[in-house]
Amino acid sequence: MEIVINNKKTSVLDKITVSVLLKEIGMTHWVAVFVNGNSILMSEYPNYILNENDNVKVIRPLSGG
Amino acid sequence: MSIFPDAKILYINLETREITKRTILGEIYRLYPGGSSLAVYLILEKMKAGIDPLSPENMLVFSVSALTGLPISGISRVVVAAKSPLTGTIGDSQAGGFFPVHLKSNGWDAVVFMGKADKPVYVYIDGDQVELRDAKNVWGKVTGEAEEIIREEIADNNIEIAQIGPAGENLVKYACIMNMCNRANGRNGMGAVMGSKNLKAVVVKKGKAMKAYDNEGFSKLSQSVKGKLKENEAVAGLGKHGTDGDLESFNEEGFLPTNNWTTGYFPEGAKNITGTTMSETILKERDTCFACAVRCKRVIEIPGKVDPLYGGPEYETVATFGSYCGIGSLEDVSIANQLCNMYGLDTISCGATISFAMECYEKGLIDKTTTDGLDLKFGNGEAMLELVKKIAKREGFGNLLAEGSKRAAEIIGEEAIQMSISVKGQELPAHMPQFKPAVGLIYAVNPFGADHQSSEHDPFLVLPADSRERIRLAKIGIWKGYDNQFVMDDEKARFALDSQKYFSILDTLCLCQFVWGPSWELYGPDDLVDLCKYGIGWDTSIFELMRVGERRINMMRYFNAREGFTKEDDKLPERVFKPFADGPSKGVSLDSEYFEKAKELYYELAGWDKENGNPTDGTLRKLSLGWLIDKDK
Repeated sequence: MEIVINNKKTSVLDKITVSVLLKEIGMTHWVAVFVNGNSILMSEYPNYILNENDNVKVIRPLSGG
Repeated sequence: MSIFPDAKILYINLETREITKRTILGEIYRLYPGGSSLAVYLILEKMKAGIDPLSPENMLVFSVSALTGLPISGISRVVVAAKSPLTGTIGDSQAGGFFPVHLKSNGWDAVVFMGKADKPVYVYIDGDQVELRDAKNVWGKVTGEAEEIIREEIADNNIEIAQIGPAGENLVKYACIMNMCNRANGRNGMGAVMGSKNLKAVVVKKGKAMKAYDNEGFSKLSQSVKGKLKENEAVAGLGKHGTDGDLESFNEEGFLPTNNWTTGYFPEGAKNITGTTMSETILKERDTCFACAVRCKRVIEIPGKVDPLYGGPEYETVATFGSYCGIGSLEDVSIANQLCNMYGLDTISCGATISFAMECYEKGLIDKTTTDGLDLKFGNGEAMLELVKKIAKREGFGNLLAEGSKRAAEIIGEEAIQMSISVKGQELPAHMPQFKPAVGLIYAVNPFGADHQSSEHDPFLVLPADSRERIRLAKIGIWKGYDNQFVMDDEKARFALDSQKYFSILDTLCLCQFVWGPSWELYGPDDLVDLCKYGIGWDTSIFELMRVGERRINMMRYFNAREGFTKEDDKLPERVFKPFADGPSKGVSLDSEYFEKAKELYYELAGWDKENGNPTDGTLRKLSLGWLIDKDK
């Protein structure tokens, strides 16, 4: 199926969870995930299933020092 | 019997060579339990307003805290405070290493330097024994050489040394104080104040770590560090790639200050100078401070060019000498870092002042007749390195830049003033307010000029409500999350102020901000309360600690008010309000209207006067600072 990740159309496996998606795009759980504008709790990442055409925003916090 | 330890203060009058010792009772020390809180308390007690920061009347305070010396990560930090020659405000700077814990192991919570020695000296502290020694053999020497000579003269390797380099001796307005030749009390020109007193170094004999009040509770806390490190990606990343680990990501977002902040995008150079490149190429080892498991300090080596003695550059240093100056050579950046550590210069102000000069040159405000023949185009690493040396020695054009970008701009002319990217005369660190508006708000209102380590950064508020970061922030009353970091609203202003109070606790208790903090750090607010309780028997609460943090900020702001500072001085450079012209952040700017509204709200929340932005009498009395009003009436 196709979803949008950070404004880019991407093909992913059907019924992919947020956790698996993060792994596939090379990110850890230490990120913020918004699906269709809604914030997803970190505890939901392993079970939250994405749907066709979902708009996913992934943000990794940047601090530096 | 006191339920809070007493503070032991050592006063050294360099002019009369008089040495006095004082005890501050625990019930008072508890209000100002160390760091810049204790330092500003001692300064406000005795120092008159309006003095020249480089005159003998300035008081220079080295301070640690009631907790310093406990054997746990992130505990060994020293504050140096005085009136700043760079900003004219209170000056405040922190450094890590081993010096802080050994200052405390000699029995001292603070050492106060007054007056000016008639000739260069250094001070050797061995417990109650304090010796002023002739510094003729080390005056004029770079830090590495001076360290070696002092060790030979004292004939004891069991010492720690905090010293100035030639830049401090030459009164460069942003000279710093170095310990281990690679840890810096960097900002605000404290090294120049030390130089103005003819004080080359403070040497302390090494002693023993402090014993915890409750060994069982304390051991649990200190031993939990391994597990915490394993599960904390942010802190583990600092250990792996240092503070420079995110530089490339800032660039990808379009918020890496480049060419003196004219853009946030440095595609031709960012990858070369980012922390992962450093790890893969010139990193020799990871260094640590006393008892710390994080090991975030870089030690680099470039044979024949960069000596590991001088450590390695932090993110701010890489950005200021790299992208600020349009330089994508890690070697040039590393050499600049080494020169600053040898000569004793604040890398942020030095790199930023050079990038300011480069923009002046590119825009035709100065030419080779001004720059001693240097072709100061962005990207010219050779010219940048030459200029670092000239600044330290106050040679030629370097003499003007040694005053900092704001004063230099005032001399170069009207058009140059907007090119000085500074607040209250202190150059901005490498976190763009366009990307982190709450950090920008703190840059503006912070008592000692733009500082990136005085509050929490905006991006952590995008994490989910059940993340460690948000759970911890909620404990200090910060409840609201965001779907992006760019928002500036009422709750963001409160976030800025409340997290500033929390960071102010850390700069009071002399704790490392990568280990102890309100969100992503290794230990959170609950752990901090436990540290106080198990470490020294201080049965405290987040409420009391937040008051401690707030008291420090208000004392500093009060110091500034006495010097004539008002909200008119709380201004960000105009450049941050203008949209970027290129890169991934094209079109983004900080909204000036929202920003001004947030600033006004900040003053209200802080209990500061709406007209002048300074603490009201009511706010001072709320914080048990009524003695200031009564004293100065």
